[in-house]
Parts: sequence; C-alpha cells; structure tokens
Amino acid sequence: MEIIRIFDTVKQGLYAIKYNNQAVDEFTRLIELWQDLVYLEEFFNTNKNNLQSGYFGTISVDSAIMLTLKDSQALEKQLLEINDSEENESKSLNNIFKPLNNITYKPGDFQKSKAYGVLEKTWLRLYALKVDDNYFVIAGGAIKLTQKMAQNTHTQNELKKLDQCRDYLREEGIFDADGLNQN
Amino acid sequence: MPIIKEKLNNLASKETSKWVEQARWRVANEGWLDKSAKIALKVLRTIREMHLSQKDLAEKLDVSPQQVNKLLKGQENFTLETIDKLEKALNITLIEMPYFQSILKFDPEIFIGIINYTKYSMTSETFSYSDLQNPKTEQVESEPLIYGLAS
Repeated sequence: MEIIRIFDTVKQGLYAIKYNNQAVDEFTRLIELWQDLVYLEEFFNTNKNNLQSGYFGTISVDSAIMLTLKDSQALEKQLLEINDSEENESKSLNNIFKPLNNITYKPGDFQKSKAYGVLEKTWLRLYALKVDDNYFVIAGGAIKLTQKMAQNTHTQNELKKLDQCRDYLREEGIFDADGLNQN
Repeated sequence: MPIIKEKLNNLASKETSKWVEQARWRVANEGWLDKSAKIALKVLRTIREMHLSQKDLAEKLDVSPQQVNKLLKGQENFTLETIDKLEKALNITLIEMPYFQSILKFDPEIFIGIINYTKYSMTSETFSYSDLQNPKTEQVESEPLIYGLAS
C-alpha cells in the first residue's frame, strides 16, 4: 500500500491510496473507470435492478452511462478549480468532502468522509479519511445505486477499505492522537 | 507545518500523480471526447443487440480485440475511415451531416444533383416536388452525407 500525492498546496492536500494489487492509485483508477464506456455499460447492465428500482426514477442504461460520464467530468473540473484557486476559501476540499456518518470519532481515528458527484441526483462517491483540515486521503469510491452502503457488496467493500486505510496510516505513525480533526 | 501534515507529506509519493495534467487535457479536449463517447455508446448498444462480442467485432473490422476495446472506451479520436468501417460492419449510421440532410429535403436542384451524383436512376423528368417529402433514395439513406451524431 502506498499514498500517492494527487495535488497539494500550502493550505490543502488531496492524496489517494494505491493498493498493492492495483496499477494506479484509487482516485486515478475511479476517474478512469467512470469515463470508460465499456466498464460503465457492463456495470449498469449488471446492476440494472438497482438502477431501475425507482430510487433514481426511470432511467435507461444508456442514460445512466452518459450521466456518469458527465458527472465524473464535472467532479474533475470542480477538483481542478480547487487545485487552481489556493486563496479562494469558498473552493476548498472541506467543502467537497462531507462526513460519511454522524458518529463521534474516538481520538486516534480519522473522520470518514465522502465526496459526491456534481449532478443533483448523483450516484458517484469518493470515500476518504480526513487527516487534517483540508487534507484528505482517498481510500476508494463507488457508483452508489442503493440507499445504504451495506445494501450492496461493492459499496460494503468500500467501508472495509476505509478501515484498511486508517490502519495503514496508524502503522505509519500518522494518527490524530488528540482527535482534533473531527469536524 | 503541523505534525500530521508533515508526516503525511513524508509518507506520500515524492512525485505528484499525473491526474492534474490528465484532467486538464480532458477539459481541453472535451468537445471531441463527447462525440467519441456517443459513437462508442452507439456501437456498444448495437453489438449488445446483435449479440456480438468485442472479439466478433474485431474480426469484422480486421483489427485486434485490444484495438476494439480501446475504441469502445469512448476516448478514441476516431478517424472517418474507422467510422466508415464501423458503419459498414454493423450496418448502422454513426455520423450525419444536417446541412446535407436539410438540402435533401428542401432544395430540389441540389436534391436532384445529389441523386444523380449517387447514380440513382431518378431523372429530372420523373422528379416531382412530392418526392421531397418522401424521397426514394435508398442509396442516399444508406450512405448519408450527413455530419453530426446520429441519435
């Protein structure tokens, strides 16, 4: 496992885990997948039941593919703007990544966070640990078609990856001993 | 620098990922990438409907399955030659030219000119305005001189 620097500036930093069985870091891998039509066509056909269960209204596989493509491009643009606007407080990683749940974290834990796609009804998620104010490490991400992460195997796995990422950071001596970065 | 950030900075790769560079490239090339995705989607939909695999399509195009997979990802700068091969292999229309489509419908002289050009047997003597509403131009329809993405 490695931590890859996606971008960092004086006030903020975005990093991503590269797992040993993957050729690239999680952020790069997800962005590539979300813009790969062969993958998206296979994914939405496999998960057609969840896609058309009514949670996202009536939507065809083709529309789902194009929406995912547009959403991931918009998310990329949003992150690029943050990278380019160091001094602009309104554009920060803190504004993109929100707490994954409402639990109170113990000292030593990092806040589990999620970033959404940009569309109003988006299913794109990036999952990250907040290591400090405006500093995030992406552990994974998913196309979330169900309401709860535990409802689907591939989103369940993302929860495990967040724990793996936390454990790795701890092993490397990076932990929030005072629990100061929980907001 | 606070301790956590400093430790993270030391642990992270010294080199920054190529994402910023790649994302900027995607933004700069957004226009044709969008067209490429629409073409790839139509081809993907067609081969699924025809129960063809990517390998089958590769054979029809006389290219490797890896090349087909690359085309279908939706990030390929298709040449007109490749588009033509795909259209013929799958018997579909991938690009259209609205200008030519509209003059086919509304300009009798050019309409006749194109029909003559495509060696359709209709002559000016047999042509009537009503033909414009429902042109019997099989050759024109199968090989439209049309630019723009077919839906």
